[in-house]
Amino acid sequence: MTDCSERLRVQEYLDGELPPAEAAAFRAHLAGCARCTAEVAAYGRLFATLDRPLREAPSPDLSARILDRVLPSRIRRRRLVAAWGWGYAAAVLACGAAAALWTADAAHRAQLGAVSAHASGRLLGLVLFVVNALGAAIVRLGVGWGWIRAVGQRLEPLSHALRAVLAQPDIGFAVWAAAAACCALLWWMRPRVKPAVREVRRVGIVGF
Amino acid sequence: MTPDDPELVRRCLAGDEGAYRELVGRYERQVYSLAFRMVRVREDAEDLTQETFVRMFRALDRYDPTRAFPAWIFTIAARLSIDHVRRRRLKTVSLTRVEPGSEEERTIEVEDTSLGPEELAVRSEEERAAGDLIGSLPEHYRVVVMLRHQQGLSYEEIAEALRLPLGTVKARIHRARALLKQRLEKGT
Repeated sequence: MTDCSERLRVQEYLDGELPPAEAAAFRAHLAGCARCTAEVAAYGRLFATLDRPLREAPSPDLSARILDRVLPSRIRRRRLVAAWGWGYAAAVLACGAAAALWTADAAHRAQLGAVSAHASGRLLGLVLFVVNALGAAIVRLGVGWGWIRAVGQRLEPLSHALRAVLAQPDIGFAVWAAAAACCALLWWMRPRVKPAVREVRRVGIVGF
Repeated sequence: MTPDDPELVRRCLAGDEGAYRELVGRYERQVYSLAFRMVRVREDAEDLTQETFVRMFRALDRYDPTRAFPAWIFTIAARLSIDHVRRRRLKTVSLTRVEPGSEEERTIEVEDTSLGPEELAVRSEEERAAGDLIGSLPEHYRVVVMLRHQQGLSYEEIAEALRLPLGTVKARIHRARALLKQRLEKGT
């Protein structure tokens, strides 16, 4: 089969890009040119393949994600939440700055120290009371069990010493601060369940 | 009666959220399909689809109603996809091919088109053939073929979308088809 220069116009013809007169002339040419006819058939098959709609489906939640970013009501809500967040941060900063300024004065610092020591002492007293009450309850439960009483008597000097140490406001405050820090650390280290990132693609029974 | 695109745009500009939903529902899948064909990673294609709609709605007041709405949204999607592909060059395998009479694009880079077993199983044979054919093209050919054959844009619209001369768009589409035709003939 010999080559034909008209072959170069096949794509334009199939695209409908040729002016009507040229398209008619090309059609007439096709009737007598086997090379171009075969070319039109081959490109026709290719066009049919390329025109076939590709039906990849996105995740079912994509619409919701898009709407969450574009709907005016949700944009307003997001802005409101952001404004609250910034407002909260600004308030915290303002409080911190005010506290720093207030404690810059020596008299205020002394006043704060006295209040803190008093509060620590009261808090420590409360804790000791609770510990004593629990200890007494346990000892009462152990009445009749001589070994519990014996252990209690042996540990009494230690308990006295501990109480004396904890009765110091500075030590008591440090112990409480350490306990609070431990609790915060444990909370931060708690196991977290991560949500699944990828979803299983849903497939219809007819293939799309 | 289903409202047409300019009507939906007008309602969106008036604050009608139902029109937002309608436009997203109407074009989400096509935009995703274009992005997926370009970037070939599902998560990235979804991110690009989302970004396309965000930019489209932000620029909605600048939409020219005399212009076809699909051409406008596919323009945004195509530009975003091309930028994404350029930023994150895909894993490619190189083939050297000399195109007769062409100084440009002598080396053809064909992407690794291997897909996961799940996707291979669910896609029909015909769809896979079309998808693989388009996917085997280098990105500058792939985007014009997608816009022309899958999204139905005219040469002029493609040229405008990709900011390319009309002649370049035509040449790329013709070369891409010639390349695909050769592959089809070799495959049979």
